[in-house]
Amino acid sequence: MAGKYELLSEQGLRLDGRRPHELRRIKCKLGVFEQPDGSAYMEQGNTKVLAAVYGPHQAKSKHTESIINCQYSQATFSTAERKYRPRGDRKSLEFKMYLQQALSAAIKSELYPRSQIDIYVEVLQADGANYAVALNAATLALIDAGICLNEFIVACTASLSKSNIPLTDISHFEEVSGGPKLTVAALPTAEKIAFLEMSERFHIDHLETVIETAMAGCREIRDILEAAVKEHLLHMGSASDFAKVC
Amino acid sequence: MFMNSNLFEPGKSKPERNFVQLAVKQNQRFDGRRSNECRDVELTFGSDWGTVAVSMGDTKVLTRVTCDMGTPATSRPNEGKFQLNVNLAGVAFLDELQTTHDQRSLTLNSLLERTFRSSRSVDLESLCVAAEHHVWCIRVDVNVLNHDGNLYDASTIATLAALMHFRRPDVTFADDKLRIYTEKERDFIPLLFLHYPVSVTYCIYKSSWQPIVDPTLLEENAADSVIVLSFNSYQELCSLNAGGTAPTNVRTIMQCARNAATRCKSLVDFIRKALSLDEERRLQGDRLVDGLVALIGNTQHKLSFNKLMGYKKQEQQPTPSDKMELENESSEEPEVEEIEAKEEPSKEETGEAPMDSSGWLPQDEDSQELPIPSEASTSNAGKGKPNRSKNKANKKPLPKKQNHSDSEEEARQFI
Repeated sequence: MAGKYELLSEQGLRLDGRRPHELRRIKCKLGVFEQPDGSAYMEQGNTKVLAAVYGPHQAKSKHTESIINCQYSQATFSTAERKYRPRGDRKSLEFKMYLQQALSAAIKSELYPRSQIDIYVEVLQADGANYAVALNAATLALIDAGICLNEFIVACTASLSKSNIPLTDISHFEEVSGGPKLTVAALPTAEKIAFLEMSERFHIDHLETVIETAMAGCREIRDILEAAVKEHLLHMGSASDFAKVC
Repeated sequence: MFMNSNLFEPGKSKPERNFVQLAVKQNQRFDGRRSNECRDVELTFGSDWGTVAVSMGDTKVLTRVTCDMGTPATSRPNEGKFQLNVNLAGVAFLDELQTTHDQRSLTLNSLLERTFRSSRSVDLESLCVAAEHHVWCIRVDVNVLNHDGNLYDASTIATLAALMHFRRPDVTFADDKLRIYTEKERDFIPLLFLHYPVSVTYCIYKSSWQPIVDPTLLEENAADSVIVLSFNSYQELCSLNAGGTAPTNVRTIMQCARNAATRCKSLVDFIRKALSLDEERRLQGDRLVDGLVALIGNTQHKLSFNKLMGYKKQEQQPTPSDKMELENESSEEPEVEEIEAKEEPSKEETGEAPMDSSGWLPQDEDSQELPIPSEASTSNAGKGKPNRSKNKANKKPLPKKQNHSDSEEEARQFI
């Protein structure tokens, strides 16, 4: 297919009016639920995701190492056509596995022997980069639950326009109109990649620039998430004098 | 009995993991390969079109392509259907838990889907007979017969070879009547391809900066991260999946990607060559492989990567002799011993110098490998693949060092 539509106009604007390196608007909130140990809500453009974390609690199995258990599900009303299976289809099982992979690289699992951490992610509205937003929401929920992370683990997508200009943070329309899609989950400060996935095709020469673009997006998202966490802490701490220290 | 779910699978227990990590750190592998050396790939074509058995060491995969007439999906009325099926029942004994079994088939399936379907390797529009009514449905069945690591590459090679080998009957559609011709009436037609992708797999360990290509089951299970890259012969990346607990950086991935691109190119060349040999045999009317047992048995004529591509390489490069030597003694896997045994005579013919045990020790490596980059850069393509028999024959260290040697110091600093 390699692109039914040109992803970038002559004026250098994308289909939704963004510039190539521009992220969609990010809104996030920590501690949206009372019951789970940690929860978060995240909006990236029109993609909306809820995440909840239970744990660490005692593991059922007799593993000595810590178990990270994820669930990825998409609400039946999240897509334009009603989804029949919110979870358990091949795509969500794949995403679930990738979430586990990426998060196990970020969680300091040596601190939680014989315990289990459950992460539940629910996509309320799917508008591209579902996995990336789900992972970002999961990170916030983990932070809200007070689970030790090596660093923020942040995911971002990138694509390549026909004129070989890399694009950050792909929307659903850009996804379906063809062209490659690359998802990177990274530890931005350490500049390490925890998970990388790519489909469609482009020449090897562009690989590095596309990965770098996604990494730059990760760093940007990290700053936004960090600000959100700080604000949340200030808000939480304002009841006591804790906030004055921050 | 086993508390730990799949303790009896190699590489899952802690001591084994530590052992592998240690070996990798010392730049050694249990079957004596170098870190960028692949196992030999062997292809056997069946008598039916589209039946291919692939073996890489002890990993064995059998792929069968079949076709059928069907109606197209409403969303794509003028495209043929393409279905990929992975059957892991042959190695189900490895998984005591259903979840690990599911994961295995899920990763394999998604790799094949992305490599062949979403990158559009087969021209599906050419499979349309009458839009909205009749299209060909191509079905690929990948049967895993034995798993000794790197199912990814084995199944992509098997799938590509089977698809390229496959021929469909000719068909005409006139006056609302569909007529399918038999092979006697009209020759069968091969599928049309837009590009030819295959994958290469790397393993990364926390203890070493050096990725390992074509892992065995032990190495794969003990690995911290696995990178699977699919390239086509035009060096286009078709799918990429990297993940695991060992965080990797861009440099490592790029290094793997460059090496994988050359390896994929030579693999595709190899498949082409093997196909033309098979064609010749068919034209000569040789007795073809009959039956499944013959196909996967050892008696059959196999087309080996090292043999087919090895000859070509010897022509290209005159034999520079140096003491690069593979380890013969400590090969732990039976399959390797067989290979060694076969290669014994050729070794004597070439009058090889006795094995210099220090030759492959890590500390000596730099001094030995430094001259190679210049050589490697002068001679071109196709030499990227690690090649066992070639190493035996002309004792040339593997060419990949070009990339490694500059990233080497930096990677060390990094650690």
